[in-house]
Amino acid sequence: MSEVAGDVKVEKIHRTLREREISEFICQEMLYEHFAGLLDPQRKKAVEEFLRKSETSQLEYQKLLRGVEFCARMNGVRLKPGALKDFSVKSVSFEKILGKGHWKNWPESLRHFTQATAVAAMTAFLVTLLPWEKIPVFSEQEADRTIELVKIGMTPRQEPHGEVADAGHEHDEEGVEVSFEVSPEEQIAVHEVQDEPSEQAAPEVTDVSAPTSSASVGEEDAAGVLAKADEEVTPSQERGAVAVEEKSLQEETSDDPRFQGFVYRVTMNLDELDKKSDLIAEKIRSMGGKKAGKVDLGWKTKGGRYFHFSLPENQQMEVISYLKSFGTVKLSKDAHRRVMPKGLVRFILWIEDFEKKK
Amino acid sequence: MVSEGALRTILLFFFYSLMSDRLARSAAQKTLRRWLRSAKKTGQTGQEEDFAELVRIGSAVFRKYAKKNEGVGFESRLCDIPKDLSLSDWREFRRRASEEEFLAVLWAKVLRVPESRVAAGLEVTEGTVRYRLNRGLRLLGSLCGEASHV
Repeated sequence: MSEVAGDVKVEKIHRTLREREISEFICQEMLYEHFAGLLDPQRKKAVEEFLRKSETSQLEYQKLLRGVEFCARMNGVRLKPGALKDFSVKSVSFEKILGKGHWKNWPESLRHFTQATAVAAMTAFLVTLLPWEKIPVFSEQEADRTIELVKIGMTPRQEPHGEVADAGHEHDEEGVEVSFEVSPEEQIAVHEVQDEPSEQAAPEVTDVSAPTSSASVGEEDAAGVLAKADEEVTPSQERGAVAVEEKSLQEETSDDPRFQGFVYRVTMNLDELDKKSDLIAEKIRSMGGKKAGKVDLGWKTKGGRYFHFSLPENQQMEVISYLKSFGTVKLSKDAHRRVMPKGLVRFILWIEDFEKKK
Repeated sequence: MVSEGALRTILLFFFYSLMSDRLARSAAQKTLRRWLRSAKKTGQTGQEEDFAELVRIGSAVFRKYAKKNEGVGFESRLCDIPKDLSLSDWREFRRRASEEEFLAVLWAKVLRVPESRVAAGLEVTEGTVRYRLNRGLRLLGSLCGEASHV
C-alpha cells in the first residue's frame, strides 16, 4: 500500500513540474532558441503555451522574426562585379610581400646588395649634404687664414763658444768660427749640395732643409739664444698673412738636448720671381743679413728661389714685414740642433715660383 | 588559397560593420593578411572550417577600425544594395546594440557563420551567443518595425 501511495506522489510532483508555467522573462529569453528549434519538447510546449497567452511575448517574438528576416535580406546582398576580384588580387600581392617577399626570405646576394646600396646611398647623402666647409678641421680656407701668435718660452741655453758640440767646425767668409752639431743625414745633404751646386742638382722644395746644415755665420761668439721670447706677431697684413707654427719647442728641447737652437722657415709663393728675388736679397743685405752656407741669397733652384741667411735679431720683424709686402708669408719657428750666436737669428726662406706652379 | 566565399564574408563583414567602402577594404585586407598568416602557422587552409579564427581576427580588427568611423554613405561601390533594404535601420541597430550583440548578429545571422564557430571566435559559449542573438535580433526587429510604422 505504502509503495503505491509513494508512486502516486512522485507522479504528482512530476506532473506539477511539467505543468508549471514559465515566467514572461524566461519565455522571452528562450524565444531565439524556440525559433531555432533548440528547445526540448517540454520547454517548447511551455513557451508555445505562454506565447498564446502573453501578448507582449508575442510582440517580442514578432520582432525577433523581423530581425531574422532583415538579416536574411542583408545576407542576400551581392558584391559588385570586380569588387571581389580586386580584393583578392590585392590580398595575393600582400601575401607575396609578407610571405615570399619577406626580407628573411630574400636571396642572400640580393640582401647584401640591398644593404650595400643603402650604405652607399647614406654615405653619398652625408658627403653631399654635410657642410664640410663649416667644420674647421676640413676647411682649407680656414687653415690658410689661421693666424697664430707666437709666444715661445724657450729657456736660453748659454753655452760657451765651442762647447755646443764637437760635430763640426767651420769658418765663414769673415773667419768667424762657429761650432755646431751636424747629424749624419745633414752631412750627406751638405755634400750633395756642395758637390753639385748647379741648378740641375738643386734640391727639391721638400729638401730645403738640407743646405741648412752648412755652416751658419755669427758675428758674436756667444751661445744661441732664442730671440723675442715673448714676441707676439700681430697679423695686420695688407696684402698677406703670416702663419706661424710653433712646434712645442719647450718639449723638444727638454726631451732632446740636441735641439736647443731654432730656425725660422719662411715660405712664399710669388710671381715675377727674378725681379722680386733680387729685391729681397738686396733688402736682406741692407738689413745686415748674410748668407749662411755656400749658396748665395736667392739661389735659383728648380721651382723657386732659396735664401739661407743669418740676420741680426733686431731686424727680423722688419724683414718679415718686408716679405709681407710681396704676398702671403708662411712662417714657422722650428727647433734645430744648431745654436746661433747671441743676437743673430737664422732664416731659411723658400720662395716658390707661382707661375711655374700654375 | 582563400575561397571566394571567405573573401565575400570578410568584405561584407567590414562593409556592414564599418559602413564605409574605404575602411571596409582596408580592414578586410588587414584581416585577410592576419588570417592567412595565422592559417600558415597552424597549418590550416583558410577555408570555412577556420572561420573561428576569422571571427576572432575580424572582430579584433573591427574594434580598431570602429574608432575611425567615417560618415556613412548610402551608396556603395562594393555592394549592390537592394532598394527595399534600408541600411539606416541597420545603422541604428549598430548604434543602439552592444558590441557583443552586434557582432553576434552580424556573424551568425547576416553572414551565416555557424554559431559554434562564432562562439569559438568570440571565446564565449554557444549559449552566450544565442543569448546575444536573442537580444540583438529582437532589437533589430523592433527597429525595422519602427521604420515600417513611420
